[in-house]
Amino acid sequence: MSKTAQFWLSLVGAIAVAFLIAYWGPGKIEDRPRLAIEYGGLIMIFLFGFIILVGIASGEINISRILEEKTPGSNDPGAASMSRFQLLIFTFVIAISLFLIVVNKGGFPDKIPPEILTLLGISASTYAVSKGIQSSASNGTTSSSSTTTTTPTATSTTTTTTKP
Amino acid sequence: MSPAQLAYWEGLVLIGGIFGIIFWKMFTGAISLKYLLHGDQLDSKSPSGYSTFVSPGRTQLLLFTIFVAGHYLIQVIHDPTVFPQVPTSLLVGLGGSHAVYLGGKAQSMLMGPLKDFLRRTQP
Repeated sequence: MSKTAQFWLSLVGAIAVAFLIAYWGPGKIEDRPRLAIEYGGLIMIFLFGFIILVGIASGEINISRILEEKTPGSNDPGAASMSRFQLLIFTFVIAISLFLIVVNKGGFPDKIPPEILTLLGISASTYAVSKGIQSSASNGTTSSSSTTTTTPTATSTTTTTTKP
Repeated sequence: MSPAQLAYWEGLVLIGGIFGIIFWKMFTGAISLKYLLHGDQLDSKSPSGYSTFVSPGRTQLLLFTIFVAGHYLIQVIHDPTVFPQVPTSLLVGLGGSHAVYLGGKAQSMLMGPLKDFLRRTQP
């Protein structure tokens, strides 16, 4: 059986089990359709996330270069990027905070403070600007020009790299 | 198990799992942090046109990021019912730190070391 078939089979199976639990579980009969949809949705979302998680853990989804940026003028795998790293750290902190608040409050927060959005904005803008600088530098390196000079006695080729 | 409890455990597994895997891969070297504190600069002597150097801009950004993220996380752990207030001074400081990093990066990658740049621009 192909992986796609396995995925769909497990998805449909999980949702069917969720519906059965909701219908045969305790509670009022009028609440059961709502419960069935809630359980089904939760299981479906979890399965999507879990498949991605397993893919990352097994290496099928390769994230080994998630923090790397390519050095201009070089074909080597890049060094770790500080702008990517700080964006990862801030995303992690805000995600953990939101999860803790939702769990302890029992619901989504009424309002997201503008300071949090500013914090994430600064972090993400830095990543974007850093990419722009990297790209400008790479373009400057690749737009090198070659000139050929000929003398009466010998022919010499000089390659001149134009720096940005 | 109620839907709220199920959502709690799912969130814990997915969020904990994704960040756990990322940090584990960083720890084992599968996600490389090599040269995290090294910047690139224009270098006419290098065959590729660029060389690396230990960047003070990156170092201060790393320290500032750890400080702000740690400060924020501690505040959330103390009162996990609301988003904590971030002082404006801290935001300005963080913005300044990022500006220093970006300014340093732009200068070193687009103009090269300052002394080389000045030498090039002088007649």
